Amino acid sequence: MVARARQGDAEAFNALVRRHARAALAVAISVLGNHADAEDVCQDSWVRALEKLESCRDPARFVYWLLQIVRNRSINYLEYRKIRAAESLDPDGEDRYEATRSDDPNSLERRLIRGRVERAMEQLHASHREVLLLHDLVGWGHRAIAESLGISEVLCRQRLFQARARLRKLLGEEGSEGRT
Amino acid sequence: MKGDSDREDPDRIDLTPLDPFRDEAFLERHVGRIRAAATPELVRRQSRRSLMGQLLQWARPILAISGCLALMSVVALVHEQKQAAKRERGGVAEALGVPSSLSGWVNEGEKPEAEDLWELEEVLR
Repeated sequence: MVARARQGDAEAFNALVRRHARAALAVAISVLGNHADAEDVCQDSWVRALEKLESCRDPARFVYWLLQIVRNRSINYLEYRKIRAAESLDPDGEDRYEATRSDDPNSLERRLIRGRVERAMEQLHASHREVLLLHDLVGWGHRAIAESLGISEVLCRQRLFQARARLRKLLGEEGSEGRT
Repeated sequence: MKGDSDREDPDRIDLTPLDPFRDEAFLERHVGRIRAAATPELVRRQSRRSLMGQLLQWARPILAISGCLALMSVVALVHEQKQAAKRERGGVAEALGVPSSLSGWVNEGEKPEAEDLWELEEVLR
């Protein structure tokens, strides 16, 4: 499919996007912590990946190569966002996110749950967040996550364990605060 | 799905509220946006492929024709060189007053017939 996408085959490219969109978005969210920005960065990363497709030497490892692009571009975007926030040039950034969220057909309850989970996720370290999202949300195994991040499987398991424990604690704290 | 993630893992935290792809419309929107952004690059790649194809289609006949022309040129050159050498030998012999038929027999290494020798004798007289 990668070879066909290199030839400009739109169907092959679409199939690649459909197959790996969830993982790409999870990585972008793990770095940026914001769905709207993550979507923008993902779109940009896919185009960039297509432009640089010849440099993906091993098509079997395409997704790891893609996620590295997403990761790098998300980090760059984060830096850019920090600078813009410092210069107060993007006051409507969060509003845009809220606007997309308000379009969401989910119920109020689901949005509240999502808000809680998002706030708790923001407290996690980005590397832990990525392992957690790829494992528990996207459904990847430790081997694939370890390969994608260039870490050992043991470290991957450790990060997942710590991320889960911290998230549970945070969600528990928030839950108890909400009840009081 | 990549690898061995166990959806039945009891420790797994349910993060589905964070999954925008639960909404099929979101997936379509997301893919559509990416496809729209990638269209210029896809078109560029398609045109490059067709250009390469055209070049390849042209390259083979051109190579074959070039090869034939080169071979014909070599044959013509060799033939011309032989002719030139022959003319040069004939020219020297004529300058020395040797009849062309005699110099021809010498150059070709042919044995003249009796009739040829009679003719030559008549020429020399």
